[in-house]
Amino acid sequence: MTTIDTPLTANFSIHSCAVSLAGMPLGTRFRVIAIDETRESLLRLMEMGLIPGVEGLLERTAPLGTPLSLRLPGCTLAVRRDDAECIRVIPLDPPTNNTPD
Amino acid sequence: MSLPAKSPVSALCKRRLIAIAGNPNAGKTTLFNALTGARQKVSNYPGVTVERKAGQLKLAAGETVDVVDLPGCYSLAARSPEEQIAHDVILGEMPGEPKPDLVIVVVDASNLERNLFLTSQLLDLKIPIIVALNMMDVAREQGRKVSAEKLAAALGCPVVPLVARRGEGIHDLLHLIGARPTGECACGGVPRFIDCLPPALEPSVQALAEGLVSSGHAQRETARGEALWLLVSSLEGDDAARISPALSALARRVLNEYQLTPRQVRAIETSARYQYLNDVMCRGVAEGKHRPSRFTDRLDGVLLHKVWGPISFLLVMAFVFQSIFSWASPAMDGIESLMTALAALVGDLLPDGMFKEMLLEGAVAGVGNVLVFLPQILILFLFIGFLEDVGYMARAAFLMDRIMARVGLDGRAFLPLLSSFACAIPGIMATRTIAARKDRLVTILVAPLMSCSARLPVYTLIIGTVFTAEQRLFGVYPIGGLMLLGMYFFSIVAGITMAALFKRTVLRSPRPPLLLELPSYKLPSLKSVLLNLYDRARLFVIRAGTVILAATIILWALMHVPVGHQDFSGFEQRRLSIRSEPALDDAGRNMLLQFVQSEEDAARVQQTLAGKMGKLIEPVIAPLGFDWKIGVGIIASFAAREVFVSGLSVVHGVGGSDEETSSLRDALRGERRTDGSLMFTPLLGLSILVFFVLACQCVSTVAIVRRETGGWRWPAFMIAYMTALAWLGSFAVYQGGRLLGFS
Repeated sequence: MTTIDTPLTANFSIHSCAVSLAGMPLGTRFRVIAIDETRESLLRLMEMGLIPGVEGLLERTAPLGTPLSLRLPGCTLAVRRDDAECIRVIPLDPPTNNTPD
Repeated sequence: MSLPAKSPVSALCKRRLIAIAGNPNAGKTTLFNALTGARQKVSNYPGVTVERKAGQLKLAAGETVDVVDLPGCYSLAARSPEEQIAHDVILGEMPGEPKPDLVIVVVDASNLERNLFLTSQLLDLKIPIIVALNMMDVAREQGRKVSAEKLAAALGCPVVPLVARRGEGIHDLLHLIGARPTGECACGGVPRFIDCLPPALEPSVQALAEGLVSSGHAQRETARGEALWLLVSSLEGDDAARISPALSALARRVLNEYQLTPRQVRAIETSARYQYLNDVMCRGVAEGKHRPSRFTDRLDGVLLHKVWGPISFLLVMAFVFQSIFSWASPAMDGIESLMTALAALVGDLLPDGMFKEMLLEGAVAGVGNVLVFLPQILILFLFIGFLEDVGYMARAAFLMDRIMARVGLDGRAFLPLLSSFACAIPGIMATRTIAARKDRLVTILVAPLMSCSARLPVYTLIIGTVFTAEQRLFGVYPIGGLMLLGMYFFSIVAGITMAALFKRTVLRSPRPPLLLELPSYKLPSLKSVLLNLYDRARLFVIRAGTVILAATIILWALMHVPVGHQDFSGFEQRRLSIRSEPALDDAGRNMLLQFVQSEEDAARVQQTLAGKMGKLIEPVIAPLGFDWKIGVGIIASFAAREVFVSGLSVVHGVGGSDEETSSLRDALRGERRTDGSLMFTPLLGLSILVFFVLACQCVSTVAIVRRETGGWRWPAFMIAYMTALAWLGSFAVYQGGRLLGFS
């Protein structure tokens, strides 16, 4: 796990409020806390800007439930649901009501 | 590995090489087109399916420089062929490619941090670079003010603001290229990332750098950059890795010593580099927050909607399919009649004989066989270029990812496979949008299984022969129509099954990561789309066209050049007696003459190589219910599937004209086996249909697969597997049917 402050000492307990991105409702704003760096796909997504510390918006899901689209500052990325499960985030505010359905 | 200070003499002697690097969608190709215009050459990098685009640029000072467009990538860490090639070319490690004197990094100003990631990796390698700060207009629209001067100061390298799509800023860029920038860091900016590594990386990078210098693998100034690259790149043995064993061993030793894995190094590097870029951005490079495009948001609300998304996707796909399927046909008919006119013209000029026939039926027909594909290719690539440029292709991949992943394919494989129902040639050419090499190969291998339009004449002939229009299932559905539908359905099932099979066997690979950005919608650049069209058409005609032409001539020779001697004077005598028969009127005489001619053609075909081959393969195809005449048709149809119809006409002696399929149908219905039973039973018809759904009877497909995969290995494999599949399929149908009591 690569986390914001301690890259090599992965420990979920210190981020007790962090949850998996996949479990968030649409329209949630979030901050990425930790990413499972053993997954090649997540390393690629990190290179594309999805790194611990970045803030984003869970915008949509594809009609069949995966992938999800995340709006990050400067770009919108598609992330498969199983990858999203390995991304820990903290929600920044309650989901807004005008979510795209 | 650094660039030695060049003496003016050597600089004059050697033409400079400029490489264009950048993220996908940053406008790399647009800039490349703006710099080189139509003076481009497209080829493949040796051994991989990645395209190499090169061109020339004339500078105002009279200097000509070579420009090469590198594959788009987000990072230099070599995890894919594209990244490996970008890295190798930039460092001069690509065989047959000189080290570039200058790298232009195209950077999307509207997404600066992400794009600077690659830029800072290039800066680490201490090569001369110019940053082309593209899409300044988009950044402005999104409410961001990006300062080229401040970015240049922070990075310590020249930065040119551009709107490549409109040609703005190109002049300044040309001026800078002429000024020959060096890789020297104009200090005062932020130190390079490589010179201020985080503590978690510093010792291992330094240790490997020293190892590289002492073993002579790198020079001191670039060693750290190379060391970091080695630590993160492909040390876990996947097919993209092309690092020499010595270097790889060195890197592994260092990793073991510091108890790191390449992935850990990459994760640390990535996070730290983004933090570093944050420092760069803090120097007043960009002002204002991102304001995402309202228009894109609204449009995505429909195009990615749970219900409207798939519906609009299907509408778009149906539209594309319809256009290649039907709009191309007037142009194709036009080309065909043009070739007929040309043949008539040549025919009038030349004396009768074998050579004339070869020229007309082999060469002219072969040129026609090549050109006839152009309308479909052009239409498909017009749509692909347009959809890609507008930003819809990314959405299509987003919508289809789940479904295609079930089979094991990329979401982008959908359009190539759909296009293959019109024709596999443009479909296979369209697989370029699929990034992962093995996924692309799987798509190429199954594309010819989709029932293309050239199979239609075969289906209609066979179905029309063994069923009559009156036969209906449950008194409602015409059996012929159901059979036709069934063949299309069968081809889809066969394609999906084979794709899943390949994905799990010969082309087994982990599911490639989804690297998909959903860019803002934008107007397409007409110039890019048209240049791309021109490239595709030219490549097809030159590379695949020559093979198709040669094969058509060879197949003509097989069908027409007699082997051994046979006396055909009997036919001539019959003709003479018909001509001198006073009891006949003109119409009757002509009919009889035509009849004799057909019989002579049939007799002659038996004496050709194709006829002998048909007899030769008869034992092999007999279990499928085929006789040697069908064998000749199959051999002939390798030129193109629809030739099966005219091939059968020739062997059955009903004249070669396509329009008179009804007389061929009657001839086939009258065929009897040696035991006197009817030859063309519904069971045999089904067996032939199944054979044509599955068999790779198309020399043009083989030619295009060779061109797209860069060798004969995959086309050979394709012929082998499809022929085997076709044989097994027909065998199962025919023998199974007989066991069940059909005849």
